[in-house]
Amino acid sequence: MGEPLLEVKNLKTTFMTENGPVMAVDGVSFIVEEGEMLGIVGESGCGKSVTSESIMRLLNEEITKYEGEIIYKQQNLLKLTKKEMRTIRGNEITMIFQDAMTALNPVYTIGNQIVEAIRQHQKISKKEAKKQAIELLRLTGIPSPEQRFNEYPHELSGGMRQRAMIAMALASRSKLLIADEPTTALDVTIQAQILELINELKEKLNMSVIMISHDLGVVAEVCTHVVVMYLGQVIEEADVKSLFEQPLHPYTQSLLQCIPKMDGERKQKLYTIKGIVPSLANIPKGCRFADRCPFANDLCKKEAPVLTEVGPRKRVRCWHYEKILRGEMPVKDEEAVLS
Amino acid sequence: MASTEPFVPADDTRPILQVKNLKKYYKISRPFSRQVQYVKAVDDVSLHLYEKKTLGLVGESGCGKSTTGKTLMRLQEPTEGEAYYKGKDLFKLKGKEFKQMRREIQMIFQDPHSSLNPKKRIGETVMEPMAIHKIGASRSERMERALDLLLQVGIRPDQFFRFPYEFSGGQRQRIGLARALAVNPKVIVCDEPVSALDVSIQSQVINLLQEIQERYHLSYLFISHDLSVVRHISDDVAVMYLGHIVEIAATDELFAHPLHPYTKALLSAIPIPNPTVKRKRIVIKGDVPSPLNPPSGCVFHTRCPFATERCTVEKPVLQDVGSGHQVACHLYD
Repeated sequence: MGEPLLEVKNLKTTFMTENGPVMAVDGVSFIVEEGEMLGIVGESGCGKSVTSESIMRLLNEEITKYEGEIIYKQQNLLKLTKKEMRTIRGNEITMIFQDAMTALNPVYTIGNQIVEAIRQHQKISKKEAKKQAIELLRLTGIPSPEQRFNEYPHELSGGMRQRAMIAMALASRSKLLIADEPTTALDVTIQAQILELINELKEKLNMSVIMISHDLGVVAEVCTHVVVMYLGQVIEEADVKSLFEQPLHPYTQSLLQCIPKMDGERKQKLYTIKGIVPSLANIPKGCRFADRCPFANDLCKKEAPVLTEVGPRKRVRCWHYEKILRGEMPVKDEEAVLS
Repeated sequence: MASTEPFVPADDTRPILQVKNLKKYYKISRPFSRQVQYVKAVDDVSLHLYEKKTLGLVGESGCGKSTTGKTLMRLQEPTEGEAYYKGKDLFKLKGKEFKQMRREIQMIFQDPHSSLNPKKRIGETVMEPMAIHKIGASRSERMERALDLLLQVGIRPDQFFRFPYEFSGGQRQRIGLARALAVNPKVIVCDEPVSALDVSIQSQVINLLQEIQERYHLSYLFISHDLSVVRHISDDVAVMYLGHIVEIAATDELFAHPLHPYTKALLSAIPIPNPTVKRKRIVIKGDVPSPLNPPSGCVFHTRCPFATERCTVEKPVLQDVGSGHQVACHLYD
């Protein structure tokens, strides 16, 4: 396999708020292999977006403290100067966002914005850049790209805007694409189109993709390897097949059970995780999931488990994983508990 | 165009709400132009909602599912059509009867952050509809009822005097439900009630909605774009596209034997959290056309892989293909 493309080592991202420091990402480590589609899943507030914004160094650095390392091509991105970082951002690593309407500039045509992105990275004439931009629009499946080139973001539909943003991200021929909930705002039929497009382009251009999503269905369909986050930490990592077939962390298990199944018994009581995600300002002392976990015992409440390696690129953060691995602790349908 | 009789489920419960040929057009006139255009948000929709049952209304953004819900509440006046509730046309009610209808049909909304008054304590929010509809003899009686309702949806009595910002999204959605229940409704229009919630919270709210339905014998019109949620909670499902109902059937029937090409594509596009299931996904081309200029003939023909000459000219009618399964498509003529 050789060198990983990107390695995140013990990343800690802390925001200095008026009420003291809040650590939104707490010791996250993972690698991205070349040509792989890595999924990062978790519910709101789990730190998945802050992780990706830390990789891109997009957060306001006056109030944000980074610790740990993000290694890309033998250099630590966190140690780079702002100027050096600018050559990485957009060139080597690009990002697409959930809301394409706010990510695109509303007062410039999309063609203009793509040409700008191209000319940032290559020294070519405007005419040449326009040709490339139209080619990119065509590559992302936008019909009649010559015409769309001159349109403004508001003239495009949500799916088309997302395609335009992907075209812009591709302008630099980057090696790594970070997609932060790229299909969450889209309808299912359009979501299917965009996921297909990202997958196709990944193969064609040999990119690696970090797919950030709250939707386990999306991750199961497109990713090959998955990292599950909860309250700022990685709680489980595995290849997609074993994660969905035999999830080892009670949180992952519960999350999968919460979703109404397309072939499940209808009208049955759904599995619920009791309580809500605790606030980052008030993190539980022991295991962060203990208060909501069906298996939690005294040990879980007192001492935080470490992320244990159980196989190649397979990790879990739970005191009970061995029992779960042996199948002795299946998550059963509990009485629904309201907070 | 006359459609056939609305969908009737197998067991013979009574419809509590009968909607017939509902239309909602929005007039659009551009400045300095005499030309008037219409956005046909809901175009000839007929459906029945049965007592103690849930009718799921699915479709993608802009298909008119929310507009349908809003016109039934008379939050927006329909352009045309009838909706019979207890033998009376909802759209013609006035004065006292109108107020009574508003009490019996309630609504819960998608966005739990904007559907509660941020300046009101949540207890007050739940008590307000009771005061308007004169439920409970005194303030203390109303307060007692509000406390009880909030407890039923999982909000503790000590949270009664708190403000909405102090609650999470899931809790706010439950407060919205308590407010709707405050006036003893018969029908609740649920407009994407779990779409803004995380999965672990979503399952709590779905369970609660089902519990409450059984306890109070409610009928739900459940509007959602999430097919797995709709499948779970609904007895019958209607699929909408561009203002039209294209298919309607009992839930199990619809998901086992989808007939309309749009329903088929919609079902195949749902991502399934199981990487070992490899399905043949039907990816339909293009975007939903603008309702300002809907396609002629069948509204789906611009994206339909089976479209023929006939589909571009002739509008298909909803028709029964057996056991109450209705579809509007020329493939099944």
